[in-house]
Amino acid sequence: MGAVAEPSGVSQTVGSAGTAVTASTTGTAVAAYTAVMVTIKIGAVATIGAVAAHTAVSAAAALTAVTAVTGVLTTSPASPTITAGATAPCTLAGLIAQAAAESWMGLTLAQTIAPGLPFFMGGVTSILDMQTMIFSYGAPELALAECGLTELAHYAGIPLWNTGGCTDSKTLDEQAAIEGSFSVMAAALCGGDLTHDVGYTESAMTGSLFQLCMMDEAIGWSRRVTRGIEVNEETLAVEVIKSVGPNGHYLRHPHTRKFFKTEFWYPTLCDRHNYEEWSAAGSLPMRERVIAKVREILETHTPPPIKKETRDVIEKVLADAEARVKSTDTKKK
Amino acid sequence: MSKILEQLATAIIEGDIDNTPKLVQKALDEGLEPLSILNDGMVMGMNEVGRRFKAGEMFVPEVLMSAEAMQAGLKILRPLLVSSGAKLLGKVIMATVQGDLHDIGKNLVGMMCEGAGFEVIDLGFDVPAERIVQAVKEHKPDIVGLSALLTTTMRQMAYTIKALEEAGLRDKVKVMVGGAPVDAEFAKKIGADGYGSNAAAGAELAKKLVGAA
Repeated sequence: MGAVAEPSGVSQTVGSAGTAVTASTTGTAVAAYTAVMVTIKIGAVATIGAVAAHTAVSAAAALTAVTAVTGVLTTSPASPTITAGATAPCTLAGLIAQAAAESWMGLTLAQTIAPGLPFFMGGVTSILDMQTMIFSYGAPELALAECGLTELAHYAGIPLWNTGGCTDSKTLDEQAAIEGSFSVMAAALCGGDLTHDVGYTESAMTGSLFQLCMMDEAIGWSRRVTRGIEVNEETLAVEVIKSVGPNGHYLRHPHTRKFFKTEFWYPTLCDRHNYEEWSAAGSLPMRERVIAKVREILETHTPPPIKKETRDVIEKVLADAEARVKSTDTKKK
Repeated sequence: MSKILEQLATAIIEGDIDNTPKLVQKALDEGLEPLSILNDGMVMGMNEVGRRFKAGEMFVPEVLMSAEAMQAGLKILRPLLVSSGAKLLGKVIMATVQGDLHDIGKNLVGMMCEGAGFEVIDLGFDVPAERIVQAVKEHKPDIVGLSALLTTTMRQMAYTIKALEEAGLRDKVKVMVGGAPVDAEFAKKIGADGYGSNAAAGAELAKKLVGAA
């Protein structure tokens, strides 16, 4: 019952570390996750390198600027992790306004130093829980504020780094499923361009492969929703309804055969068997199915090695960046 | 409990920053002892705040208002307490360790400790171990509270404790630690005397460390 690939050309903006995973095939989830994290790091370093390379200001100012930009970019590009009620107003409008201002400070700085530098707006916008003092990764306000920030970013014509699939739960449980799925869905519906932190549990203290794997399912579900309903003569199928007629059925109809694989999304973790079948297969709850799948991926999946050419480029970018930072450092002294 | 002390306790619970000093003054005018005003009025209120917070009936911003009301009242009481020789709970030095700029949590613990009746000396953030050692020599506190938000800076807590040891001061102070990546196990590992998971727990811990709870 492998994943049914979604039709190509559907690439829309739901995006996420996890979404990319779903698009490729669920089997590579874990490896892809690592790859994405590596890409983020390299991207940040490369950007910093570019900032340093193009700087036209004095060495000291450059260093300050690089530091400032670095501070913004190392977590995610120009993406403040901003806390309603602690480091920002507790009203969501104020939170979004400040998140945008902080992010665009990074934008302004980066463009001043390196005009045309590609920019991804971001912001992990959530609340300080006023009882536990944690920055909540499962709050509805996280999802809601992310939606608001996404709309603002898109209004300004900038892609946005969204957040979803994360939870305050300490383990793979119902709370993790509810919080993670809702934020994935919200990110999908508002059109966040790249949704990260998928798999974060314990308020982002722990990255969980189990949560990541479970969210892969939620992402698939959400992507089916955002793909929407195609309406045309063929999909309205009035002629098909007529031809099947009363007492007929659609199972054997060519129209069904033509569309069922693309119209329907197929889960790989959510179980749709009847009780007898489910119980014959061991009565496994979702949690155990997720764990089994992660173990299977870890045991069987071999990630494709990074091509030597690619690796060389990565290493050169890193070496150049390091040399530049070091030379700036020396000049300052 | 006299009526004025009850009113004072209520003012603390309600976080009434304006009225608390007025009530303290009124209690003094009525001839009450400063120590009684503190312990039978204000601290009673603060204890109730702690109970309500634990029960989920009060939230941190409200607790902070109470702590601020407490501070406002203590401004009047403290000089009187000092001159009368009455002993406060103790002295706490608070610092966010070197390399770490996150001070909200540390500030909250400091406020809660003040609210609980400690004298608090705040060294700020990004504080090197040497400065903490220096401050311990100078102020002779009962407790040093260390805070860090990052996994990269939490080890600085261990260096600070080591520096206190090397300066021969470790047995003169209790060290409590806290912050997002810190837990009780880590606290134990680096040789701290205790770990607080939040601001209220930090103040509770401070009380325990001086034998007042």
